[in-house]
Amino acid sequence: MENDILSVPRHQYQQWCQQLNYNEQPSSIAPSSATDSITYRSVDHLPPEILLEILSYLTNQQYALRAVSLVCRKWLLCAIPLLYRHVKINNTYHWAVYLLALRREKRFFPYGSFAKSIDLSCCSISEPLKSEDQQTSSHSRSTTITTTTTIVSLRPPLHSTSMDNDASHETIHNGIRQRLSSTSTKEEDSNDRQLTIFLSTSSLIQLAQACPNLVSLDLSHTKIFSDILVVETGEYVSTLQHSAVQPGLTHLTVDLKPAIRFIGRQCSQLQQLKLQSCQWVSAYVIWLWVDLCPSITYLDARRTKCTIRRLTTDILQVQQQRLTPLPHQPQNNSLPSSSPSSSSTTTTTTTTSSSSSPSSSSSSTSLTARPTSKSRNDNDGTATSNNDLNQMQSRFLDVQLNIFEETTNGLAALDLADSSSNHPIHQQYGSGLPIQSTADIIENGDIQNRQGTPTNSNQWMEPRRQQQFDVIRHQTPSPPSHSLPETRSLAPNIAPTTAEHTVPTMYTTTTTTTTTTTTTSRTTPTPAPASAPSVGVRQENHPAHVSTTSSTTEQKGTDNSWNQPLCHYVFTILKEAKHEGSLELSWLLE
Amino acid sequence: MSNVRLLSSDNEEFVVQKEVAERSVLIKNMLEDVGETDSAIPLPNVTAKVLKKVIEWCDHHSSDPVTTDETERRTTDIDEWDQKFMEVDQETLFDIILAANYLDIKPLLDVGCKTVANMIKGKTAEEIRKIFNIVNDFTPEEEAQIRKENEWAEDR
Repeated sequence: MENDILSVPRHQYQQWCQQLNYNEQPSSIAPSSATDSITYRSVDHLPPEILLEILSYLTNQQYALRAVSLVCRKWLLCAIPLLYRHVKINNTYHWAVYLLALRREKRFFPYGSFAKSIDLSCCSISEPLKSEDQQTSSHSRSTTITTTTTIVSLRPPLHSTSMDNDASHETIHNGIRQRLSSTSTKEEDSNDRQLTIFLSTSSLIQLAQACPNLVSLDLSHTKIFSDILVVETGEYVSTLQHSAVQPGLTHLTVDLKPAIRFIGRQCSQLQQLKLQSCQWVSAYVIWLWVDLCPSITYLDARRTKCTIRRLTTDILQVQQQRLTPLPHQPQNNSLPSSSPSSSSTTTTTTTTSSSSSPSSSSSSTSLTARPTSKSRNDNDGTATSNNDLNQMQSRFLDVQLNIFEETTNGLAALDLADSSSNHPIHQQYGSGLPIQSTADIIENGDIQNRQGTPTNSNQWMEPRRQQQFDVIRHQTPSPPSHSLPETRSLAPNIAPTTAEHTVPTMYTTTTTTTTTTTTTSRTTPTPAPASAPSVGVRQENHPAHVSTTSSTTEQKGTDNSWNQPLCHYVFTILKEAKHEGSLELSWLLE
Repeated sequence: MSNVRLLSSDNEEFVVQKEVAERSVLIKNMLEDVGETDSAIPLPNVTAKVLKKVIEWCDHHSSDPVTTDETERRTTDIDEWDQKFMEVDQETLFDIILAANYLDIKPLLDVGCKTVANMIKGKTAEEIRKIFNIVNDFTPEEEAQIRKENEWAEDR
């Protein structure tokens, strides 16, 4: 063996290497003159920025970009960011493959970080709706029998009609507990004669984990189902139970709400959401999206199952701190009478004149007109009373309780054990409801009205929870700033500028996410979310206008600018629809 | 109307109208900085052959309105004259693109890039390699992995 080893002097080896390089790479030899280097060009010599510019003209051609990525290394480097920036998925299989690519441990690039928009609707026709179409679709919706189809088969709706007979019916007035709803009427079948992408709730969670820079998400024409997560809980589960896998493991249903919440938390830049023609989208689901994803400024929920026409007639869009007014809103200050026939006569993009006030304007005005002697509606901006501070403190401690409960829960990290007591509607929009109403949406869509007495919002707590609450209160009299979940939930009806001056430090400190209920993007100084829908003023830019009622009125009269996030607007609409007797909003009690 | 003298990398001089030369943002800025001068503007990165083509394009489009809308510029199809203008060998095509980039003539850069992009559209990786004479420097394993990772983008 020793004889096989050849010893070569270093200088001889180096000479050999140089000769090898010379033979293999003749193009690497320096040109004889500068002119030579210029005269010979090939695509291989184009700098990457030019190649990137060329490939940018192929962004709508995924197949071409994929082919480009296979040409050579240099082209791969240029093509991949473009390929993954605006993703269009054609079918469920590709969706699964795409998720695998994002989540695979060994991969060439961090593909998810390139993703800016994901479009899952491209297999369907998504033409803009006319008013007649809208009316027709809403009519057909009312006569639709909703059934539960088999999840495992993942058949497109074209074939799913054969399974409708043996599928168990499920009422879906809240739209959240349904697994996979497909319509069985012939009218809608004819509309759905195209491939539909089936999404699982956990796939949305995976997407959110992988794509933190997502700005636009198009889920139009999709169907969604809740899937099962097997969790190692260590608890004894009888193997005779249907859900038992083996001792120590538990089946856990991944619902839509945790998935949306996860998206809202991970994809803090998500601004555009399209849910057109999704039969799994109800008013409650719309509310979840706008509430749990606070950055959303564009929502297309047309042709969905939601029966609140004002949410589905047009695209909801916040433009330059202005919420596009809905066309059918009356211009007086009273609550709008339902006039669906006139709702679709104009489009949202054309109506931002000062004469047409947004619906939130009218509603908020009507709300302020109510007797608010004990209300938390701080329309005049005077939120500095001790009573308000006490209430905010109690709410803060209430939130602390939720945090404590979730952190003690072993599943809290995944946010799958969705605590019903921490829903933001309770924390944020209790102020928009009548006096001390701390309405809370629970998972099954019912409502828990924990009004109790007007002064103590913790009265509803169970004794055990109350005990934990006391423990927290005694052990941490001054809670650390990082455990503050949502600033807007703490000062729900106070203009931010006012809150900053009046609320103790612990209410205004910026937080980092510590538990499953917090969302860092909602934290402190960001202006809009702190006000309830009833406060129709521009808070942070004109704090003086918030200070008194008269100035607030003046502001309303002169300026239609509404510095409110979409969730406030949706909440106002939901509340008004509830007043008008919408059956879909049974979960929204006052 | 005043003229401007341009000097290519191979020392060939071109006299063009100032309006035509100012289609290039680079030359326009140079003229603004230098002011009225008789000396030729050296363009060391552009050969005479390419400069001639660029001047031809600028002359034809000298009266075109300047499009500031990026989206409009990118989505507009190549007009017929430009299509004919770009019917050159690949080497010249890439030279024009590089010259347009150097001289900062965005519309010409767009036309060049669109032309190359159109050559790529609808082609497989192997076809693209063949068209542009590119060597595949992937290992078989790497190529297989890339195919697998980007399978979702398949057109089917």
